[in-house]
Amino acid sequence: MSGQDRIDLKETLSALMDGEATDWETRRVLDEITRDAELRNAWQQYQTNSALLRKGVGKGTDISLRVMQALENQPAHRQIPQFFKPLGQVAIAASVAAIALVTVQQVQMPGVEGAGLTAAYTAADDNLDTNRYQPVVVPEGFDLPPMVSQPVSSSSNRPLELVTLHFDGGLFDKAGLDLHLHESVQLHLENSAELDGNLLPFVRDLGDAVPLEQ
Amino acid sequence: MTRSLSTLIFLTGLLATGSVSAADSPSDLFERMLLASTNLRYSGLLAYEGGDTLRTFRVETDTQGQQQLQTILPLNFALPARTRIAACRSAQTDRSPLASYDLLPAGETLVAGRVADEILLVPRDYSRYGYAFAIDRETGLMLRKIVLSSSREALERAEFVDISFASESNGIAPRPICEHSIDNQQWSFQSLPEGFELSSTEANDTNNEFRALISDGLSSVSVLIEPVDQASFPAVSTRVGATTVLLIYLPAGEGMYLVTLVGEVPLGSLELIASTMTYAEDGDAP
Repeated sequence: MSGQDRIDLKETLSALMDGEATDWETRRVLDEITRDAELRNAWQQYQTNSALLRKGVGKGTDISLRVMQALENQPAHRQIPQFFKPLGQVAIAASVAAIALVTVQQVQMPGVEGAGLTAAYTAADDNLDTNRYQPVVVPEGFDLPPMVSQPVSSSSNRPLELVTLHFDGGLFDKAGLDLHLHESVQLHLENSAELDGNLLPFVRDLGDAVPLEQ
Repeated sequence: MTRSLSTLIFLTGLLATGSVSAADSPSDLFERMLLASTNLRYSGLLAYEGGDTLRTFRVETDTQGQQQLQTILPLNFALPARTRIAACRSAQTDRSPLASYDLLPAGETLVAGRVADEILLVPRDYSRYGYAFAIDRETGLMLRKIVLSSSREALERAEFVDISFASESNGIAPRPICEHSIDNQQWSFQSLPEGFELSSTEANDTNNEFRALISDGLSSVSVLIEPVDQASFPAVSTRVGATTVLLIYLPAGEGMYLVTLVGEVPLGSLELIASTMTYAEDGDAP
């Protein structure tokens, strides 16, 4: 961890103490605090200082212990793979950006018309929403929740994210991108159909489908 | 302690009522489902919901010897019918996904007017999605499939709303396993998400394109690589339903390559696969 990261986390700790940390900041600092002794010490110091200010020496220790106990009971905290953690409001994660020759800022353009296949896609937002990183909890005693009957339509749809129409200083071939995505998905579906042994992958086919009513 | 006790009571109750037995354990149901998809004759109506789309299809299968003819006809979209001849089945169907998922029973349900047993495949990490299957009790065919995100959000759902089976469906021998090659290629993967393996590769020496299929037995990822003179599109990642696409450019050797990854996995898995790809110069293949 860089020095700046540690400073940022300490600021987040302070915000946490003041009850001003966001959910994401809370999760991140709780994640780091188990690995970083210096942060743990800082946390203890903040608690002690806070207790001293309130003339209640020792209360801080209890809060710290409760946080650590909460961490122990938080499976997601131990299970979240490093690569799958949120990386901020950037659609392309740093791991990819590092190897990509070209990086393009992604912007929300909900008003763009005629986006074709690209518009049919929703954003790949798995690395944006911290709520998505909750563990798949196996209910106690196999008393499974009724999630199998949850309709897809009840799920929240994120706003469409499109790449900027300006690429490397100029317009890129939007139709070409749509075609490439379409052909790539087609190839994958062909492969998946053999893997699955049935036709179900083809129901995912976006194709050039046009609703009959149009 | 309370949790252990309640679990014990729950299991004891199940055993006492005979609802759980070796014959219909989740893993048995799952194995039966994999086989049933390759050797049954049926026709039915299938609904698919993913993203913002609801689509309906007529699905029919027939057999010619050990070959299975599969036809799917869109009913509410103007796409032509698609017929596929399945002469063999993937070796992946012989791979148990138990290493990457926990199989759990989810009770009995009714799909397309038929009694079905539901099972859940809960992923053991965040490299893949979860699945919920409803399996026809009589034939073992998968009647419903739901892909679930790590937050248990249904990403897509395919479900028969009507189905009928040919009387002579039973007894058809399973198709032989397809043979795929994994050649020594210029492109390789230093590491893959836990449980995923390279299923097949295909290289075209003429145009220098390369394709690979990666799977954990349930979820699959296609990696498509082609040389380009220059970047024509921006790097982009997108998702519809459970299908995620990642498009990036990689400089390798003397040129640049457009790499497109498509799969029913979270974006993070595609990123991990992409970040571990390596390229060997001619004569330096791994």
